Amino acid sequence: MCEGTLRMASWIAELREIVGSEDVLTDPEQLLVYECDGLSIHKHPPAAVVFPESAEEVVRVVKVLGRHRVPFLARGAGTGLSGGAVAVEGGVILELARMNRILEIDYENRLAVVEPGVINLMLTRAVADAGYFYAPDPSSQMACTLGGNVAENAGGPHCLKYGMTVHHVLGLEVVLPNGEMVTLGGHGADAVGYDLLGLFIGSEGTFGIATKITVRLTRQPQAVKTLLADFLSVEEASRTVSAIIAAGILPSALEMMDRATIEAVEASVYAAGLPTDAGAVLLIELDGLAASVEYEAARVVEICHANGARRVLVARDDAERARLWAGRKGAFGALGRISPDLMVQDAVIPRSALPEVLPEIYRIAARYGLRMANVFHAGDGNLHPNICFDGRDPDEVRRVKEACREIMQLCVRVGGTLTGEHGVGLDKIAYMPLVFTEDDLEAMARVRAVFDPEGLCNPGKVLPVRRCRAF
Amino acid sequence: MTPQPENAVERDVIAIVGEANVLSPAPETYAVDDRRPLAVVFPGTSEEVAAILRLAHARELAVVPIGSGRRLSLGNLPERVDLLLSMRRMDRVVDYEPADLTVSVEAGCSLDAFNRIAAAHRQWLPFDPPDADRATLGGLVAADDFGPLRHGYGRPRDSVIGLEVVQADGTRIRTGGRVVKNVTGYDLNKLFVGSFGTLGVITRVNFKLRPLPEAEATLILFGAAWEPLASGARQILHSELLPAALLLADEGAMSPLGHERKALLVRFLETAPAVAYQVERARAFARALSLPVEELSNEASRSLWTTLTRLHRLLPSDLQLRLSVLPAHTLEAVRAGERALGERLAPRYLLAHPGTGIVLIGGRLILEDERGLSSVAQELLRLRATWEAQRGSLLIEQAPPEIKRHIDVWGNVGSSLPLMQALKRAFDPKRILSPGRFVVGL
Repeated sequence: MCEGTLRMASWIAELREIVGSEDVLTDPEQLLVYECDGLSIHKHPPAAVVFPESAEEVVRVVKVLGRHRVPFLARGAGTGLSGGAVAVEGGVILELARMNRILEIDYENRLAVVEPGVINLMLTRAVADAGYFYAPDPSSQMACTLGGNVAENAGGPHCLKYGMTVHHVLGLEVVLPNGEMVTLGGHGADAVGYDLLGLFIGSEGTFGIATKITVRLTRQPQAVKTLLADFLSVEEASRTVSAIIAAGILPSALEMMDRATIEAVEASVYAAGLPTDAGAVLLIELDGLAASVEYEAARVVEICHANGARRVLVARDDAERARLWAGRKGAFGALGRISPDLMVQDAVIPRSALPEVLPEIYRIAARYGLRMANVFHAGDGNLHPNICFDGRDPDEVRRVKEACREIMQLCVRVGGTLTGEHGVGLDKIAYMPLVFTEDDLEAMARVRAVFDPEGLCNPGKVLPVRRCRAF
Repeated sequence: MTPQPENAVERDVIAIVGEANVLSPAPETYAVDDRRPLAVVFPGTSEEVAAILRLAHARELAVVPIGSGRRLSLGNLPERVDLLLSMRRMDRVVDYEPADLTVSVEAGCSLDAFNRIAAAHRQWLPFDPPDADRATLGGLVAADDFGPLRHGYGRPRDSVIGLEVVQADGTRIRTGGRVVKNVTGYDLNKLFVGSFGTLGVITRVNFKLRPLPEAEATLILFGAAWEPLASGARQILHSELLPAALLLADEGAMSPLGHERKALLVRFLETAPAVAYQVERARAFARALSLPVEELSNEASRSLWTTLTRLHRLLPSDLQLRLSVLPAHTLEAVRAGERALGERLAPRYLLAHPGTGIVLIGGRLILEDERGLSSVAQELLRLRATWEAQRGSLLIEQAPPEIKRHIDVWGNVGSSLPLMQALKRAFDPKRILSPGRFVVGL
């Protein structure tokens, strides 16, 4: 104990020398903020939090921690939903919020270079006047950082058409777990060799720390149309989703909110005038050339009516569009008000399985006596069943966990998977064997060992146990 | 490697796949650069692939996996080649779900064959690599190969959602899955896509598909010089238009199409009203630049692009380069390529993608003697150094062995080289998968 305290004191002193005393937090009160991310059921306070302000400081911090064999992880805004940005082994958190400069904007090559602490929406705002945007738009985009987006391969409603973070990152500067700095990917041109960039994105902070990110900028579409279709039942809304996809229409977003979600939203500050008597609504957005958008919107309206829509509202102007989206993006916040805790689940199924799987998910929740609301990216089959609960009630927590396991098993059984955009983190490690064999997981562990042979970088996440097979 | 009695190897592979599925000795057409393999093996299942790799791993036989062999010229000179593992017999569409816009195919399934099936459901895989009509989907993915459609649809990397891979020791793994959005565990798809068969043998690929566009048209803008064509391309790129492909072509590339001038080819794949709108807008750009145009719609447009994917069959070539630069540097790279190789190739063709910064130059080398080859190699190294200094790269897609002896065809890997070497050690410790052919001879 005594020896441990002494050792701790020595590396903390070294960290203070690098970033300054006030930028190393060790007071348990201050550390409380960092004990969990957006998923409150996994709580692990770190040993310390440091605030580096440059890549060079990240390198020095990582090297000190490596020398003392102290585990560490990077954290952005802490909005993640898988327990990924928490220190499970009493490690140190490198909080990157201060590395928040946009370093370069190059419209000619449609790219921007940013530090990892830049907030997602700030980048889009910085390039909006020039007619561009940054496409991946997680619901937390007003708070989440691009470094966190890279770690999680973040998605969002518009990734149905535009793709995930991995499709919009062109290059990275990364501090490896041993403190060495490398460049992955190109900087607008193709890189040579294995696709380490693609491998790194979505590695949930276990392969190293990105300190500089080159992203693609996308031109704003000529036209955008947002529709709200309201249905008596989730089944009708699900069939409509399948019919739109089958018709060869690729909306930029295709979102579903069920009655429980609508009620929560309408009772909150995010109220968007959604029909509270509907069984489900679809928020459908089409963008692109005006000629296509008009044409496809007409077909979508037809498909909605053919599948039982009571009304299809077409937003008349940007204000109306913004209001509809505020309702969607505020859904998690609105649901969070209902109960002390909210389990935001994430799973993916083949999109044609929606009509069959959704009712089954409601049945699971009912069987465990849980209050559930579904608000999700229906167009790509990415479900977000949300369970409102009270973390102080051990029996309810147990029921939440058991229901989640059943939902995961169901999704895997129909050909789906555990997570579409939130990551495995801590929360889904136990389910990994549902989708991957021992050999699959072992191959993943081998890649992890290439990046982090010492196992110090965000340990305890993604893979069930440390395993590595010798050939 | 311990020397193998050739007939023992032959006997063992026959025991796995049957006599009808082994060619031994390998015919000349299966040579990898200047090396002839002991045998060409045609497994019919991933179990057979696994058995072959277990054998190769135990005996340390070098295995080069191939699809159609369309891109076999791409790579450094092989260190050794014992078995060529052709995936051609594994050509089934295993599971096609039109309602989900996903498919699972065996690696030897051809791009054309699948797209014919998918067309009935108004869907497709939007890839147009060189020699697209010969491409197998496994080969396409292993090479992450692309053509002009990369501009609008990305590379195969962006459409792969899952793989089955047989590792060097014969263990089979699956990566990714069958759904279009997935962050479950590490994305090992990315490890194998574009790894040219040096980390494992891809036996099955899952793709997400695209709806087949309702209409198509191509507008060709003709010019005597690059400047106005590049300017047209730039205007289109900075406009609201959404071309699926945008290609600059020199006189050589245009000659098989019956044209004698340079051109900018703009392909639109969209709904009918959006195609019509875009063609009109592109025509207006051309008028402002005083460039004559020709418009091709639907079948004529498709056939034009098909011809372009076959250029190097139509124009005999033994050298092909791919420069990748920042998109804004495309014109400069075109000129640098012409300066470096203009006089050394006849016939010659040049294609450039101003939206993605890709410049392809190919043709037949004019050589007086052996010294000529080494001076070409020097020229290529100079060109590479120039562009690597500007964040670009130069890949030599095809070259005679005499040039490959002087030059690494891939170029500089940069600071991530130790990671790549460690990955190779972790996935192929005995170096039996295409040894020597990938970057820095991995």
